[in-house]
Formats: sequence, structure tokens, C-alpha cells
Amino acid sequence: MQMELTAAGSAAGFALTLLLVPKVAAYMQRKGMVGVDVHKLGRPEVPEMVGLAIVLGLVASVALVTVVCRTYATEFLAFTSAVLIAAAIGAVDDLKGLGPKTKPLLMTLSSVPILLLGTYNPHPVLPFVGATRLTIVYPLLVPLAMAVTANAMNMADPVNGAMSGTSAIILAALLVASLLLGRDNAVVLSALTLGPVLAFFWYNRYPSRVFSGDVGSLSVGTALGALVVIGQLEVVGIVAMMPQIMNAFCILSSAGRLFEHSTMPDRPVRLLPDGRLDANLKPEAPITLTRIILAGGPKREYEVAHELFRLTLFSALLAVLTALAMWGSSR
Amino acid sequence: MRGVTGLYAILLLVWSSMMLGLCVVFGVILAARVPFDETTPPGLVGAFRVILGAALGILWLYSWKRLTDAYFRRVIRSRPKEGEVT
Repeated sequence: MQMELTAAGSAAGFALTLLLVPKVAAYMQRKGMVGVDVHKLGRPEVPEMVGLAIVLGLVASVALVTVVCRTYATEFLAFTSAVLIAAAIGAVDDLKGLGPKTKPLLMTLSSVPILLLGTYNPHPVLPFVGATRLTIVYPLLVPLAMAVTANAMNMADPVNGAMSGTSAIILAALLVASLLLGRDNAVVLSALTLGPVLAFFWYNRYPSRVFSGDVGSLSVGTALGALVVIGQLEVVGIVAMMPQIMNAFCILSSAGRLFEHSTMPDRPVRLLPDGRLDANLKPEAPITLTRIILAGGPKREYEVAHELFRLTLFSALLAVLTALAMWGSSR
Repeated sequence: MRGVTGLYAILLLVWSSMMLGLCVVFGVILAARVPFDETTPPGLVGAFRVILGAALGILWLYSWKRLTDAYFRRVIRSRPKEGEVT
């Protein structure tokens, strides 16, 4: 019953997001909320903030499943509240612009519902070790984890379809891991998030017809963070997100500080006259995963996106192996 | 795949070191009995263990960064200079 309900909820979220994206995009276009696709020669304008459709699809599908089956109502309430807080922060950032230090700090607020409703377990299961006890430290790590996942996904959207495509791969890995480990709440949450993200990817893939905006990337990042905390998939989540964590860490350490895209000292990637992308060869440009991918030579934008997908897929396989090790050590 | 293969090796290395590090931190550092366990308040011993575990975690992150930086600079250096005929 629960499997069928999860599949139906995921399909409903997928269908709703598929229907909502064009409507939200048209609305944003009318309101002048457009972003320039800087990696195309014509620099086309693309509707921004369309990630709002993911949030609406996700919240609707979680609500639908909760109405039918109340088993995980508290967990789902914490998850949905966290995503909505992130969406609100993302929307403010898209509309008004938050400072580079304010945004990560505010993102820790998305952990409040999880901490208040107590939907975490301070005994994470680790591969080869089994269950551990982190009674005092764990609640302190939850806000940090939420801020890290949200901001890592926010920074992981350098080319068309990158954020939505890699998120879908990470969610698929978390779904497989939660099935292996028998974490029913995480099975439902990952499937319900996967539906809307896949639908958004349909429009966001190369060449993008819509951009997610911070409202989308911060919400998806928060959904991933909330999912790993609620579903006790901490290590699996870190492994699945290794390319995104690597990207965020490289940017922060090479720039030496937090900064906004608009105030970036030098762009990591440059557009060549033939439409290909190449790594910026200036030493002062920040090191990003895209710049590393392009270090060997110029590539088409979709080739960069495919490389990001392959790297995430590799991490996703390692994440499933990690889940297998956890399964072995918890038996 | 040119210039990217090394990234997979880095991810594999980071993953293996993470698995090993988790075993060391949680299986050895946090679980081991130390000589001053009896004489020191339990909170202090716990804090010491957490700090030691966190220090190992930071060292792991730092090594990851150094490895990625070194890989990036090596690939950039190996590519032909702009305008150079290969």
C-alpha cells in the first residue's frame, strides 16, 4: 500500500510540476524576472525563479501522501516546513539579494522545524562501524548540514540543467540507499522529491527554457539536507554529494571568502567565439568544478553538463556501496 | 574524458579515505579507553575526543582541497599555450 501511495505521490508531483513550470515561467517573464544565459553567444533571456514550481509540486505531493497515510506526518511536516523556509529565503534572495554571509546564515533556519519536532536520530549508523552515539553534537550539526547542502546545490548550477540533473541523480541514489536500509520515511521523501525535480529537469536541461533561481536551488538543497537527517542517511548523503561539496569547497577556498555571483572578481569560465566554453586561464579566477572540467581544453556547454552528470553518477554509485556497507554493519 | 579522468580518481580516493577515517574516528578514537578516563570528568574526555575527531575531519577536507588544486594546476600547465600549434 505504502509503495503504491509513494509511486502515486511521486507521479502526481511530477505531473503537477510539468504543468506548473510553463505557467510560472510565463508569469516570471511578464514580471520581468529573467536571467541572461551567459554561456550562449546570443545571450538569450530566460525566465528566472521557476524553481518555485518544484516547491509547489513537492509540497502538494507530500500533502497528498500525508492526507492518505498519517504514518510519517511529523517527519513530513518537518520536511515541508524546512523546504518552505528555504524557498522563502531563496525568493527574498532572488528579488532583493541577500549578502554573501547573510544567505548561508539564514539557511540554518531551515533546520528549526527538524530540531523543534525532533525528527532526527542522534545515533547515526556508519559504514563498518554501526550505530554511534552523538547525543550532544548531533543537534548542533543539523543547522550546519542544512546550510551546507542548500548552499552546495545553490553553487552547483553553473551550466544548463546541472542543478536539476545532478539533484535527480543524488535523489535516485538516496532512494536506492533508503530501500536497501529499510528507511521507509526516506523512501517516501526521496521519491516525492524526485518527481518534481525530474519534471523541472525536462525544461531546465540544455538548452534551458527556464532557470530555477535561488528559490529552486536552495529548496532542493534543503530537501536533500532534510532528507538525509530525517532518514538517517548522513554518510550516504555526503558521498552522493561529493562533486557538489568539492565544487563549493573549491570556490570558497580559492576565493578565500564568501561572495555573490554578481561580485565575483573574475568568472571561472569564458565563452569562446565558436560558442564553446573554456577555463579562465587567469590565476586569480576562482577554481570551480566546471573550471577543472574545462582545464584540459574547451567543451560545448552540454558536454560540461554531461560530465557533471557522470561525476555525480559515479558518486551516487559510491553512495549505494556505502549504504551496502551500512546494511552489512547494522546486521 | 580528457582532463577529467583524474577527478574520478580523486573522488574514489576521497571516498576510501572517508570510510577509513570514519572507522578510525568512531571505531578507535571515540570508542577507545584512555588512561585519563577515570580521573577526568566525562564531559571533558568527550569534548577532547570530539575535538580530535573534528581535527581529523578538517585535515581530510584540507587534503581533499590540496589534491584538487594540484590536479587542476597540473592539467592547466599541460595544455598547449593559446596560439601554440600542436
